[in-house]
Amino acid sequence: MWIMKADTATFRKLLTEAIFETFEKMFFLFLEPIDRDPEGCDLESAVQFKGFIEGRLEVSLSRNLATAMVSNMLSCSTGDVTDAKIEDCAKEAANVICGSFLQRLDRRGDFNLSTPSFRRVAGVNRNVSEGEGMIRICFDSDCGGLSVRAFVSEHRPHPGRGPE
Amino acid sequence: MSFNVLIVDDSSSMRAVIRKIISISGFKVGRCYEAANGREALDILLENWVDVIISDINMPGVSGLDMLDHLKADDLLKDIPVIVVSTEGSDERIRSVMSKGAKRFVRKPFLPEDIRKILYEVIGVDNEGRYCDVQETPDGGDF
Repeated sequence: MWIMKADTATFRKLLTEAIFETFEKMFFLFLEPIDRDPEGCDLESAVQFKGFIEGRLEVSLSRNLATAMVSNMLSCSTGDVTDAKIEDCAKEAANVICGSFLQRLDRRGDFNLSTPSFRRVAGVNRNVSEGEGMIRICFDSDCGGLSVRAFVSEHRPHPGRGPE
Repeated sequence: MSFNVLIVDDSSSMRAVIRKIISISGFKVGRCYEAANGREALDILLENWVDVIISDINMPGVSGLDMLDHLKADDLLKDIPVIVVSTEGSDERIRSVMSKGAKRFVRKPFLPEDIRKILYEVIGVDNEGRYCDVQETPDGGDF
C-alpha cells in the first residue's frame, strides 16, 4: 500500500532535512532546492532499507558535484580525486542520507540497510513520476546538481502501535 | 603516552576522515590501523595491541555487531573500548550495540568534535595524553 498524502509531505520534509544535514556535515556543501531534475547527473548510488517501511533510496549526482564532495570530505585537491574515491563517497552519501532519513522518520524503529551500490547512468530516470511510490527531491549547488529519490514499496503498521 | 587506534569501516573515505579527525584532534596516536570489515579487524588484533577501536556496523562479511561478539568472548580483547560510528542510529540498534559491549555510539553524519570528545572520554585522557577522571554517563551511553 502506498503511503497516504499526509505521509508524503512528512517524508519529503524529513528526507530534505536528512539531505541538508549530510551535505553540510560530511561534505561542507550547501544545496539549493529546485523543482526540476538537474542536468548531467550521470552517477548514481543506491541503498535498500527494510523496517516498518521498506524500499530504496537513490542518489543521482553530477561528476562535478561528486568531485567537490570527495575533495571537501578528504581535504584533498580536485586533482587527487579518483574514480574509486568518487564511487566510495557517493555510496557513503546514499548510506548516510538513508540512515538519517529513517532515524528522523522513526527513532524507535529498527531498520536494516543494504550495502550501497554504485553505477554510471545516462542522466536521471524521468520515467517514474512522483506519487507512484516515489518521492523525488532535486537540488542545485555551486558544484552541480543532485537528485534524490525514495521508493517506498511497502508500508506496514508499526508493531505495537495503534492506528495513526 | 600514545595510543594505538583501529578504524573499521568498509568506506575508505570514512576511514580517511576519521583518521584525519584523530590526527588533528591532538590525540596522541601511536599506530593507526585500518580494516574494511570485522574479519580484517580481528586479524589485526591477533598481531597487534590496540587501545581503542572505532567501528562501523554495516559492513560486508563480518559486521561490526559480529566483531563485538568476538571481542566479548575473548578474554584478551574484551576490555578494548569500542566506539561505534554508524548510520543505523535507531534506539533499538543503539541498545543492541551497547549490550554487546560498545562504549559509545556516534551517528553519521557527525562533526569532527563529536569523535574527538568521545575518544577522549572513552580513553580517559586529556589532550596531552595524561590520564584523567573518566566521567561515565549513568547508562553508559550518550543517548
